[in-house]
Amino acid sequence: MPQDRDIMSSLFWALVGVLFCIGGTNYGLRRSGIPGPGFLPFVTGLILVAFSLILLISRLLKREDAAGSVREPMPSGEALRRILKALGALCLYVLILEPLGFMLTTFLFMVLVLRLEPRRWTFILPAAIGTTAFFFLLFKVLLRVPLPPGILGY
Amino acid sequence: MDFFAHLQMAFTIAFEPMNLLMCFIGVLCGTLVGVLPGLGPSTTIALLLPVTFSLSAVQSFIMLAGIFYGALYGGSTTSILVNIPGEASSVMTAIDGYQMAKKGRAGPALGISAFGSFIGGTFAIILIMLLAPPLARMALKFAFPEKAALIFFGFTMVTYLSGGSLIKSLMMAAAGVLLSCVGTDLITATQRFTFGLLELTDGIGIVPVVMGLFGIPEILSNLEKPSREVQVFETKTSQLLPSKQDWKESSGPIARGSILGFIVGLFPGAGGVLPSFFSYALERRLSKHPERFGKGEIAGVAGPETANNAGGQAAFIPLLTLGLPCTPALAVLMGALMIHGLTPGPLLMRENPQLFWGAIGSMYVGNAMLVLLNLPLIGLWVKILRIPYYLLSPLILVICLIGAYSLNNSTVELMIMVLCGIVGYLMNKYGYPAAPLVLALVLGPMFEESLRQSLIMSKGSLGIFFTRPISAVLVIISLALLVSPLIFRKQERPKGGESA
Repeated sequence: MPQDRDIMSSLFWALVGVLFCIGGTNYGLRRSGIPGPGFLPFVTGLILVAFSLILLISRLLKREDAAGSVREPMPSGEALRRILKALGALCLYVLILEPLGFMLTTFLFMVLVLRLEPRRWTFILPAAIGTTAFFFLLFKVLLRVPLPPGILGY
Repeated sequence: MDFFAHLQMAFTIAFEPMNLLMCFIGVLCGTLVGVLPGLGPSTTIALLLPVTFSLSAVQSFIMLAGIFYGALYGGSTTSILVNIPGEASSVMTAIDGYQMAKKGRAGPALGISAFGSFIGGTFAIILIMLLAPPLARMALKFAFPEKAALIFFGFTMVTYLSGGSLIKSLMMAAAGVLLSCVGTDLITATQRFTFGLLELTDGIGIVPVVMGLFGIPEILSNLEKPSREVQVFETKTSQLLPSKQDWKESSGPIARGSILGFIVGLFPGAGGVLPSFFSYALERRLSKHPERFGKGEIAGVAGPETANNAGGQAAFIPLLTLGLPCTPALAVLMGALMIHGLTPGPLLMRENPQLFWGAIGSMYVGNAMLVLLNLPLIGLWVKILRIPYYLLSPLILVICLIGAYSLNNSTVELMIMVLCGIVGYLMNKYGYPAAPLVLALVLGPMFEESLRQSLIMSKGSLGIFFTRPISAVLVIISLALLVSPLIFRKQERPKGGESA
């Protein structure tokens, strides 16, 4: 139901707008007669809330406009599981990069993402090791990007 | 004459060995990302931005700009050979280009799009040289109210042209301005929305946001489909040159595409999609055989490809003279210049002529390199397409992750990127365009400064934007654009993709 998606998303953006409005009020809307640091977040937050409400109301009245109906379908079943797993792998990367270090994290990430579709371990392990080594050479050796060493020391 | 003095200066700088090398690396990377679906120019420029910290401003601008226009070339190759537009800007090329390839005429299609791109691009660069100096001189007179009005006009154009629902584009522009408020307030030095995080005092970086909003969603939506083999037409380089007949049929579309693409490309938000879209529509209307379009008509390849490159180059004019980036990729490019301590705008040409004219010179050189690179190397690009996507997508993700981390060596940037990735994926699904958000995020701080300084000048009255002629015109046009959909029922607009 595309209508429902618009309702959910407009409520989300309205909430974002409200939070910035509250923040803006705390930072001060005016200082000695001229706009203060909270002025722009407050006004823009209000505008975002207003637009979100317009979207919400027009969808509640089911006045779907032709241009707005171009949307991709939401994935379901197997595809949705793949997306969630990939997102999980990304979040995991953020969490373990500093404690475990670049090498181990990248290796684990590659294994997780390569396993999104059923594949043999005889493919996954060499591919994950190979790509990790490639990135190590590229970023650490060639470009000298400082990367967290973690427990392995690399 | 000024023109030739500038031209000489441009070429002198562009032909310095280091600059030539950077230009080459840039257009090579650009072609590569143009070929690869799932990695757009804006993500790539964002990725390579940390690498440019060790380069000079001129070198990094030459390289990053090369990625931008190189991608316009690369996109056509995959459109023609496999019917997969590497970039949104090549969607129109795929229609007739792929049909030509099916008929065994892939060579001339690739050839004419390379030559058309070269002609369109070069035409646009010449016009940049002629038009940029007077425009910059005019823009020098802009004070805070004019700047605020100009940025407001830019926001409006981008939301208006970014495709999809207008109200959603507007919401995204507002969200971008809100995100740009995070960090230290420029006027009072108040810490806003930083939650005590040191990493946020400089504001939310454009790089993790762009990688999150453009890079990650593209990969995720490719993961939805099970991986499949790519069908590629075999082409020999010897057949690449278009015949006399091909040239005869293409010369009109190329000439019109150059002019049309240039004009359309000047508008913020038009990006790479609209010039080729308009050119295709124009050529079909003017053609004596409109029924042949969609079945492999060479005019349907030559026109849009030329327009797409002319438009891409033209988009540098608002960036270099007014400080107004027209597309997300150029917004990242602007971010790169600001990291090097330069503000794109009317002062750039006067204070950094080296950078300005060097960039222009490198565009001539880069366009020539692209023709030479593209035609003989088509075999290589096609081989790269054969890398299975299930291997490519985790590689791109790791490059994004490392790129985001290396900005500040902090996981805060990583979190921003992953969060933007999730939001960006949902935005795609729910029909919210990302381009207005990115542009508003980049222009937000300048908008806020000029808006608040204007209101300080006027002691808080909004009337200042209407009493000064230039700002009044810009604000009134913007408001008219925003109100017009309420009055006229809109036709369906072309759906903007990632856009160059």
